[in-house]
Amino acid sequence: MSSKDRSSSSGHTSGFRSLRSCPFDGKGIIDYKDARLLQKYVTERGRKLPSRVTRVSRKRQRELSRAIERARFIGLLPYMAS
Amino acid sequence: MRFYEHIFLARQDLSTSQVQGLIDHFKEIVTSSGAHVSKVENCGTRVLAQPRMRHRRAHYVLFNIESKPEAIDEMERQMRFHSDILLFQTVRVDKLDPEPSILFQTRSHRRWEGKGENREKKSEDMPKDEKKTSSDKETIRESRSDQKEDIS
Repeated sequence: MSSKDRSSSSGHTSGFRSLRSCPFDGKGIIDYKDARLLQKYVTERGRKLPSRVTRVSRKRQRELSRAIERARFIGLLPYMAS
Repeated sequence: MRFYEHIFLARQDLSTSQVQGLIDHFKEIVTSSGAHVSKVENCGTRVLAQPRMRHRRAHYVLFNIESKPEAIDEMERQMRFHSDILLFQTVRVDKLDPEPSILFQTRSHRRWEGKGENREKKSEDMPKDEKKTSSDKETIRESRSDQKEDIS
């Protein structure tokens, strides 16, 4: 991630942080069948990315998390990629 | 009445007609309990993200169902006993999407899947008299074994 994020996590809050909004703002329900979309929010190993990295809002992160679990269950996403 | 999206995965070695048979079978089970199946999508075979129950690939089928929960319970109970079904998932939704799902839209994007479809088309091009003979089944099986080699 950018140096901006690192500086904000170490206590130096820059004024730009709030400008980056949630990527799911104004969009519909997160579809658990859309593996290509969900893939952006997991690591190469298949673990969920934290919302502090992806800037997903807390409400959307809950939805996203549920969608990823559902996609994993039906074999669209791996539980752990090798 | 509630809205459900139901996905089930069938064993990959089933033929398309057998999958269609499964679809008809389970559709009848829910509709006999007073449910309405508004959309059925046979999304074809896909590679699983990781092997599940020693299977690397599976047929994906999606149902859009408007029903009471009891009908879904009954269908799931029957699916648990069915040896051809690997797993299933039912999700309750606020409203059903009549459009083709993303699973259905992306079904031919897979490299090996496109090959399989071409091969099936080729076998369809053959004279109709020979279509439902045992030799035809053998050719399909052979093409499947070819695909396995491709993946490995």
